[in-house]
Amino acid sequence: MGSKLAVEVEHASDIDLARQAGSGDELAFEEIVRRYGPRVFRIAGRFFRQRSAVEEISQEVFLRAYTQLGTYEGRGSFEGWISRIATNTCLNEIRKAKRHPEFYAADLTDDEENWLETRLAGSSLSDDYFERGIIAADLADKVLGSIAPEDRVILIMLDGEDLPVKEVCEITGWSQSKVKIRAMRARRKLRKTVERMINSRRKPAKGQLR
Amino acid sequence: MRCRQVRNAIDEQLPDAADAGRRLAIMAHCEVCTECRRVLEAAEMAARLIQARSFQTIEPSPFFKTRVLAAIRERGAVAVRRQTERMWSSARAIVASMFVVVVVLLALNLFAPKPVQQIAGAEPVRRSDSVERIVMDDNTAADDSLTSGQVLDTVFAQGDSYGID
Repeated sequence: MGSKLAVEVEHASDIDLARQAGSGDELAFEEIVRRYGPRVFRIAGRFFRQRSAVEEISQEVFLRAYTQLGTYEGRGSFEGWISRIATNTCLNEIRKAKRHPEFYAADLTDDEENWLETRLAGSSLSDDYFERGIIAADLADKVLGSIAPEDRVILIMLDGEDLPVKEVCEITGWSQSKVKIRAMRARRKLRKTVERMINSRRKPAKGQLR
Repeated sequence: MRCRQVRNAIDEQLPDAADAGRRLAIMAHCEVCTECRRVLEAAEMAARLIQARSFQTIEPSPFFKTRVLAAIRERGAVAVRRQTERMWSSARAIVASMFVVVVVLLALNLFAPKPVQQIAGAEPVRRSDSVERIVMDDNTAADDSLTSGQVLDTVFAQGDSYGID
């Protein structure tokens, strides 16, 4: 009986699952968590890099989704609905933490400087190690940390994950023109930060750059 | 293309992602303009960093579902507890206000002036008292509402009580 129910839930549509979960069916909500857990984790991973932080915020996303199930009317996709909750929860969390530090070239570690030098020299040696490794991701975090969280997430989605603008609009709830303009401004800000970082490497005297 | 246009184009889309014509125009400009070449270099570096940041993905642990459901149950229990607490506090308020009302009523009953009781053996109040009061109070306005018969009856009755013939 129990396994039959589980199979039914497994094959249920998103809207049916949302209705059942909204009326207190725990099994239905468990299926929602199973289906959209990876998606929510991926969104949270755009904002946070530590597993504990990603797990905690994802849990918060599902708790919010559970309490807001009544507001889902099935007009858009459930995936888009839960993605918006996830994005907004992450943005709120970042705004609460007020983490928006200035980037200083002097903050680079030796590994990050090596990565930068290698890239500037145009060397493709150990590209795979550097590109996929933690060093580049650490450096990326520092550089991206200097721009607004909204800008950061737009760039990660558009330029990092190659998501189409339409999907980014669905996730953020913004219009296409807003996404495009925001992305362009964010790229400019990020490019200028990277330019300062590169210039500091080229100049003999290293100093704090703003 | 001018420098400003090239930089705007780079910020809008990297040459790799742009269409062939645009890419060629940007690259041709960067060949001769050192500043714009540096801008392009920085933009490409920024794009690489963003991609490097996006490579890392974290998958949910097998216990994640259990954790979420436990949190929902816990939050539900907390909500029920809060609701019960709210219910009890409002019940306490109602009982307290009822007690205050009872005390006030008791106090009023004990300390309020009592109505004058009729003395035993005293003459009962007669039906014609109101007419009598009007006549004896010399209230001219009210006198108009009485008939002359009523006035005479009252005067004679009063005269009897005072021993007037």
